[in-house]
Amino acid sequence: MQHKLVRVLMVVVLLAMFSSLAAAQDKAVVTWGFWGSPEEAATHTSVAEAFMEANPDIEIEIWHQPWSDYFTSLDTLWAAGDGALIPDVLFLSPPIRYAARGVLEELTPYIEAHDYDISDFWPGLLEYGTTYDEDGTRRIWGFPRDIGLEVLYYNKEIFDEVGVAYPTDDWTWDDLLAAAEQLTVVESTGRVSRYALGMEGGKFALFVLQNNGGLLDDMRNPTTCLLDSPESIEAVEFFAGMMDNNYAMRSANLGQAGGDAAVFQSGQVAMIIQNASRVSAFNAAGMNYDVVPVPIPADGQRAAAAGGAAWTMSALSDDKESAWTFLSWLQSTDGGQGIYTASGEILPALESTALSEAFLGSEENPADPPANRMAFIIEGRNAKPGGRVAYFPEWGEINGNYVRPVMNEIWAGEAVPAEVLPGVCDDVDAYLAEMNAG
Amino acid sequence: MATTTGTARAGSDLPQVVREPVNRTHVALHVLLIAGSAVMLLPFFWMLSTSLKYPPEIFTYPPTWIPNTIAWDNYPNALTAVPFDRYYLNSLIIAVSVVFLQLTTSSLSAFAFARLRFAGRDKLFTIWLATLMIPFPVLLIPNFVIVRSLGWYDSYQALIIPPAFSAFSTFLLRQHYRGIPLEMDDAARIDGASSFRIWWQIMLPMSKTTLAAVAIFVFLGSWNEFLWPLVITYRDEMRTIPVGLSKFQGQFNTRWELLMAGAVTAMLPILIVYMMAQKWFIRGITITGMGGR
Repeated sequence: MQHKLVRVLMVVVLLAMFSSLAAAQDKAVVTWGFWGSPEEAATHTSVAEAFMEANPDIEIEIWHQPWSDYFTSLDTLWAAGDGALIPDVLFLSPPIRYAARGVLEELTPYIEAHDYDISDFWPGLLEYGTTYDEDGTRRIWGFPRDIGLEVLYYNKEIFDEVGVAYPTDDWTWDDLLAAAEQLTVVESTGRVSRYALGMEGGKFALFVLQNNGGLLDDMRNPTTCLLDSPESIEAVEFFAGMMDNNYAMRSANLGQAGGDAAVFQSGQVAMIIQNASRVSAFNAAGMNYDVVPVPIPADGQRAAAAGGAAWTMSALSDDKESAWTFLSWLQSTDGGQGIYTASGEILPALESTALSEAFLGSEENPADPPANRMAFIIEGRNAKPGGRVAYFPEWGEINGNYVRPVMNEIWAGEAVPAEVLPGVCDDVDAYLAEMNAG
Repeated sequence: MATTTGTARAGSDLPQVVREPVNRTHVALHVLLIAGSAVMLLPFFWMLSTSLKYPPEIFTYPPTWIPNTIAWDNYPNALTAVPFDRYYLNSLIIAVSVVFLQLTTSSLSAFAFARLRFAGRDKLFTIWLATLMIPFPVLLIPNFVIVRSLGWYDSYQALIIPPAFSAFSTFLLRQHYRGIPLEMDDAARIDGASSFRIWWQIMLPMSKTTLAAVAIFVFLGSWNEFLWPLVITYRDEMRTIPVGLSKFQGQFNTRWELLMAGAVTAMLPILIVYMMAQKWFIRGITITGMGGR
């Protein structure tokens, strides 16, 4: 009797082992590569778990690297050229640079085959992951997960303390300057103990485009530099002037002081102009703050940049259909978009997700600060392709060699915009002429 | 000061204390050394101080050396935000294994280069030494491809076997072996000892200090290695401390307080190894200074 029981048990155990083995073999495995802090990685992991629950036949294997070395690791994998090691779905920015290297799978055929709705992206955002052939054929290589547009963050406690009215959605540059004058505190020694504004110099193109200026005439097929136009020069002068008057922290000081989020949290600046990525840190620190759209010149325009790191598919993936299933799920309100948005880390790439409870909250389930989340929606609806976002690979070289070094001199107070910007444009124009000729 | 003391005591019957004249060079030297060590220690104290601050205080101006509120919870937070215990264990396993293997391979090859006679010995040694000139990033991808083809991607083998061979350690040990009188070998050979036995029973016991010094260098190198463990592993279970710590540096935010708390914790084994082997460590530095012997 006992023997029989043991035999039956053995058979049951063996059967169970075989069936679980068979199940493991049936499962498709999609490797998913992303960067992120421990907190962001935890959100990514919960996204993977939610996906596996909804799609039991696909297993997600995580390939997580620290931000600073994500691209080093990835470059090594690409150089080794082993498709089995390269993650099937990858977080990349800017996607078209990698598309040009031939390491990405084009998503357009999958979008068409599966009727994936691309109209839900913010205006122009998808352009960030798109290239065009000479005959005009559109090729999509990546889905931006979020849109990195900026809003004006302000510290309510400082505004209350000084007695300045809070910023509003229709603030202009003049309102910003008037408030800045009151918010800045210069000690008798000449040291500035509080600046009104902290904004990285590298974001200057926001002001340029708000003022109807520009970087280049066309951000896909450029021929001319626009930084020497009167509108561009006026915008650069506006920003440089804020630094000269101690209203805005000089870019180098900002970097040394730990960046805009750090100085905003420590109360060294009253306002910053930055994207949604800082929200979770400010909430964790219990800050009393809110946001408004970025102030614009009286006759200017909103100039949110339509760009954000994107989900892409490896050209060497060995199971592209499963990779697509995961990728398209990541980019849906009920899937990844909703989870990331609810975590408070991003402003989602899809307008419907931004307008959902996940971002705006509801009466029963109010969203975390900032209260004026509609500021992000206002900027999102006015986002434009091009302008500040370049869609050609040489931009990195142009910016690094000709634009950034001179702009840094301006932000350091060592150069006058009207004197140096024409020279920048001469260099850029010469480079573009050579680029277009060859 | 000395003069006033002397005058005050002049009236008493006690014999006057004759002080040795203060050696000015010594004073100057000590001032210089103290200043030097202060410069060396400042970053360490800053790390310690930052590891005990809450984020808003880290970048305040003027900076504070002693935090207003001591944030002890940074330590448990840093150690639990990432699987730090696993990173620690991995780093220890790898460092200890690499030290053991590298000492074995290096002392054997150093013995061959220093004591055995065979055709092309010195040429071979020059080639082996020349590999020191190749910067690691150049070797990164070839090494990666080899390790991958062996099926070692994301494994302990990948982290332990490639660093088990070192031209630098071989060089240090060879220089040491060359300083030991050849008569030792001859005497042993007359008694019938094999080459291996000479290495094991004569050379190794006579090289303890050098071996210890090399061991410390290898341990330090392995403990701090970043690039290779970064590219050859991807699962958290295989990560080492330096790679794990870099996770606190995000795209937009760096958790300096957690990063520093982690760095302080990561430094402890190094500190312990150094304290235990201080004598040999300093000797090791002296050896490297005498490379041409």
